[in-house]
Amino acid sequence: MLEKDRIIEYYRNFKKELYIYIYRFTGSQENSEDILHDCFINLIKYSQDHEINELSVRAFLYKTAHNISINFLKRSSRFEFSSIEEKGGGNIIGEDNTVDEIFTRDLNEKIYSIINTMDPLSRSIFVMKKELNLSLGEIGINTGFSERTVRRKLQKAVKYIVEELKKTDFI
Amino acid sequence: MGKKRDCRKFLRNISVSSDRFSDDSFTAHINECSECRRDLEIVKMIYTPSGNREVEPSSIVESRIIQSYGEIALESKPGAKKFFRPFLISAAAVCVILFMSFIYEQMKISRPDKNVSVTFKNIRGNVLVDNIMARGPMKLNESSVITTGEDSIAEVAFDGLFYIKITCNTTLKIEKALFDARKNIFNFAFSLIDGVVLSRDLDKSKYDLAFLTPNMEFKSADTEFLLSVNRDKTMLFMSSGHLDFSPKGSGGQDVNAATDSKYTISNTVVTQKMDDSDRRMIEFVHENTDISHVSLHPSMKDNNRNLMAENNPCDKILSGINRENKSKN
Repeated sequence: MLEKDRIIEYYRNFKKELYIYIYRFTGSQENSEDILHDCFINLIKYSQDHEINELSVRAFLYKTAHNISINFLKRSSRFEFSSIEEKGGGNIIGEDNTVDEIFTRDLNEKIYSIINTMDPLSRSIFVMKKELNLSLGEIGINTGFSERTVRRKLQKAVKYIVEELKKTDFI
Repeated sequence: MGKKRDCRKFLRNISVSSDRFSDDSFTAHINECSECRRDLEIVKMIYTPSGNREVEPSSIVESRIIQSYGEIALESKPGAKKFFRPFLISAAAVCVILFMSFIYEQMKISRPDKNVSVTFKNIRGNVLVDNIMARGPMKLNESSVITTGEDSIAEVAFDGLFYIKITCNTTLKIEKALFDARKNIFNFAFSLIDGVVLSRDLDKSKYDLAFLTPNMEFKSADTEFLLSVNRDKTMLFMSSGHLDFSPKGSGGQDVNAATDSKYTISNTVVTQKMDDSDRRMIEFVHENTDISHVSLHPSMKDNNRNLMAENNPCDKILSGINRENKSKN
């Protein structure tokens, strides 16, 4: 079983990116924190019976986050996107309200409203790519799918988003 | 068409990797295709992070994780805890089972034996049960005394498992009729005080059937026999099966009574082989009672009188018994 100090170290190293991913996936800060907590609990329990190293910890956490988030979506049966700014939660640094930022915020809202209609796997892959800029290989490891599948899903997702954005004359 | 295919290919490639954006082939296509130029801009915007890179979970999450870690570590302590808990549960389960078994056994032991009834049938004549005239079939319990008069026959039975035909001038007492809760078996004992009975038991496994006379006692076991008590003598005619009887006052040694043998028990035990007249006597008792059943039918009433006159069962039986007594004397 991993030592407590190691767990804390892993948590501090990965919490941001995991949280962003989970949040973008679930749309809820409170649920995102619960899922984040569960990811590390799973890691602790896993380490009781398995050897685990630095490289595999990250992949394990992402895979766990992906699975738990999908299950959460299935249970909640709807996905509500709300920006952190609207909720007033999170630790946002800087509250500039330039036109560009407003446009970016509106665009992201639109993008995620389109993402809502996709299957959870495509959604997960897209969020990892958009928010965390993970490579296709890394995304494949995190979701448990081949790089080829990840590529195909991502291409389809982006193509769909582009078409939808053009349709609504958003862009 | 070629241009469209190039556009589709272009979009597919930029969708997955921004590394190709500065690729020469793509640059050339962008310069030629305004549509793809536009798509490229859109994809760049799509892939722009949402602007919440500084977002962090609250500090509570780390505290929760540390607390959960402690709980998991405690549960998974090697050795005692991991082994001990299932061991404790198993031990507790065994103790509960043993305790319940003990309680059950104690309840069985302390459970009182239950009185049961035997079926009594007045086949013919005057029959008294506890000095009261028996009018028809009835249920009798322990301590009931059946007394048949002259020319009377009665029957005691239980659930088709055994029956005792009580011939005339006989007194039979039900000493015991109960269900033994501990052994889970019926327990019967009859005391032949005077007279003659024919007993047949059919299924020994379900009950104990004991007989007592002034001279001996025994348990019946899948047997048929005629038992006679006359003053200080008991006679036992074994029609089928065998049993062990304990004579009283003669040293107490059990005697094995075999089929087709007869025993005269007083101060001594005399053993002989049954002869034809003995067997006919037993048959007569059987047949006589059958006839008695028929005689109860209204159309046979008159015949019954004749039968009684010609074939007084008591005379037949008593003469048979008396003949034996005479020969012994």
